[in-house]
Amino acid sequence: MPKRKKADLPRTELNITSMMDLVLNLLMFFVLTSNFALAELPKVEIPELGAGSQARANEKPDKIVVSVVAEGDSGNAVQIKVGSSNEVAPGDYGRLTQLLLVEKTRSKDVAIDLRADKRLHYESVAPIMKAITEAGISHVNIVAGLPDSE
Amino acid sequence: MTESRDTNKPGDLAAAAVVAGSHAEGHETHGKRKKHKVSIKVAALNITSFMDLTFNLLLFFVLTASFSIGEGVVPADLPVGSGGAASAATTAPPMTPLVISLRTFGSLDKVVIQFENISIDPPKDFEALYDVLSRMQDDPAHNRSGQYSAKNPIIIKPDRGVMWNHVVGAFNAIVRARYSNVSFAALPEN
Repeated sequence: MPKRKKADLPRTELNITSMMDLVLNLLMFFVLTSNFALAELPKVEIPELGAGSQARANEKPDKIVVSVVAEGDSGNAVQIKVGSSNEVAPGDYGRLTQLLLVEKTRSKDVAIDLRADKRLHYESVAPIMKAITEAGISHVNIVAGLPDSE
Repeated sequence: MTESRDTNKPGDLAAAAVVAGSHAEGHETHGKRKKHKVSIKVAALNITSFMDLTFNLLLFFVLTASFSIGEGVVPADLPVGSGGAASAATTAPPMTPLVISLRTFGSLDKVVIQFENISIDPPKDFEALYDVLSRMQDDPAHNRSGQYSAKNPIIIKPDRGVMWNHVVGAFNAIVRARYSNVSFAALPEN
């Protein structure tokens, strides 16, 4: 008797087909849009330029990125990073030039993204720009916030 | 007791068949179809582990994706060679360079913008600097009739303590006013 009762019960099943469609689409979206190269760069508060910003989206992601990390609000640099791996101590601008010269021999038309923290004082950034020009690289892009979309 | 256990052993399928059979007794014409339906349900795909994996992947990508990076670049061409902008100034281009000096004033957030070699009221912010520079430019294509061409060299000369944010702000205002020859002054040696 109990057996028959069990068989008579309607089988309750969730229809998850549409949810699966959604989940797979979301998955594909995040797989394709996630950018891991940027995540490797050190955290820097980039300058904000508001609505009149002339900054454009970075078309070529294979540039050399020189990041300058600030030491809080003191205005001093605490770390200079070339790309995601090479680290230069602040003040060691000769080594920075050396590193950039090596990069320059690797590819002729080299461009640099200067990604400096907005709280840095000019005296911490100017020697870095000088070191870049001393390596014979004149094409420098200054990383800044994109125009506010209002 | 043992007998009843034996009959139950073949499992649900047998039980289902028995039930189907009992149904068939009631509705003779639909008996065969009922049996068929039962076998279809057994052939359902078990996607539980697949779903687990998919949800984990989804969660991973949702959490690692970073959308807040609104970073762009303002392109600049710095003078090549040692000495930075100072050497560019000493090569004496035919046009007199406009020197825009930035000085800290009071708190770090404030900055004073001044033109060094022309007498003009100091612009109060970078929006005003953009206005002044646009009016000074000679560009008939954009209805501008100033005395400085777009190729006129402009040198940004910040003090040591000026925040990088202000330096980039000044640079952005100059680029926005469509001047193409911009350089940064090197700090004086001491």
